[in-house]
Amino acid sequence: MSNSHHKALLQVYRFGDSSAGDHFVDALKAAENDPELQQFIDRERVLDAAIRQKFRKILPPADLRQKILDQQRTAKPTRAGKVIPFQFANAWIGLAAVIALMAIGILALQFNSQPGQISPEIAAATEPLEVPQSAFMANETRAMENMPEQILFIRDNSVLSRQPEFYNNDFNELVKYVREHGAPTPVYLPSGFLEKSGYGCNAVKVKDVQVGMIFFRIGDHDYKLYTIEQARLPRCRERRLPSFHRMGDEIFATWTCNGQIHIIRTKAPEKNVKQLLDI
Amino acid sequence: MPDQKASFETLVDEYYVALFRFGISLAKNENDASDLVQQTFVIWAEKGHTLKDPSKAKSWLFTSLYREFLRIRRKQQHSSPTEDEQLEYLSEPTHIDFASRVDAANLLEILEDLDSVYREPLVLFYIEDLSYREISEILDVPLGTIMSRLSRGKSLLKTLLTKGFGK
Repeated sequence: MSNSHHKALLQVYRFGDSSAGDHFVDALKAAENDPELQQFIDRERVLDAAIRQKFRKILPPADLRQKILDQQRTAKPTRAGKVIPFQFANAWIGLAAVIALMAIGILALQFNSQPGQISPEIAAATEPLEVPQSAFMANETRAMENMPEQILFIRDNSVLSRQPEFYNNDFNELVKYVREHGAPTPVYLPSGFLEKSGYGCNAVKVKDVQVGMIFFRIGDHDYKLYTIEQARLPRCRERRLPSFHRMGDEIFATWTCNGQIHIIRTKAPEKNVKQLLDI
Repeated sequence: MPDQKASFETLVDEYYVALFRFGISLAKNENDASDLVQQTFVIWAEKGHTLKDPSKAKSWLFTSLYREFLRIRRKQQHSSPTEDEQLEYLSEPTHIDFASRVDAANLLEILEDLDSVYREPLVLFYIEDLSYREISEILDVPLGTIMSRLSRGKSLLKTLLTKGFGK
């Protein structure tokens, strides 16, 4: 396939949506080793975020919500909420479902009773590049086990949890400060952060690794954006698409871009983070 | 009963804004979009209980709104209003506050230049976290066709945006 064909596909690619099956597989594979395609994806994400932003400015009339609720209050009673009568035809389907669930349960028990049978290599290889929202909670424990090196690095160094040492509302000033102190700053910002200014920053050196930190306050939540040069953590896997991990009450999202590792750390709900990352 | 009322309110709070955005992209004016949203929730109140999987509520609501729009459009095509009424209807402005929301209004105008086969999936792609599969289900179009229309639609939109935002 040509580059233009890949671009035609990738222009509607959305991180985290696997419902299109293998529609994007070839194009994404091609993008892995093609900086031009990678930049194209980044540009499209910025454009998509801008369009979404404009859609969000379309608001319904102020009284629409109340009209809907009033209409419901005055409507005649319906069957909504009533128990649907059990139908004989559904009984066989129900029975089949119960048998299938029992079989899956037995298989799962057998599988879990043999600890250590999955090698770390296979575990790493099967770790999803993107975690669908529905799978996020179910995979929480597994995600903890497969926690990427960069997140463990941040978690294990308390200095990276500190408050900003430099406060400023001008994003350029924050970038300037971090760079002057020898730490990296993002070449590309996630689209959701483009219009946010940030309020503080840190430049921290841990075990010879320089970490740039920029602090954002969006809505009611704080977000820390960490940037590390990928070469400093050589075991970190290339990961164009953000992966999500939960530790306690915090969510970490991490990805790589332009030779940099990025990590977002926040207590905000997962959906807020996804929105900021335009997923 | 209070639970039922609360869950209806929750559903309204969660989706009525996004449904309105979809509605206005279809109906092209605020009043008709509001009517579509209200009617969608009336349908939900009547038939929502038949939905077995609660996670499909969002998709169900968008599908209902879209079908309602198609039904009304078909009806209007069968019984054409008088010329005056038609002119009045067509010239009715979109009641978006142009002063404060000029970008959004501009975007809607630009989208109007797109053929509906491209506009409808694109709007669903942008306004809500609807998956490709959900878009395909709502519009009742095969997934492969939706992917092609999204791609072609976005190319056209980019061309229009280049012209439109430069206005």
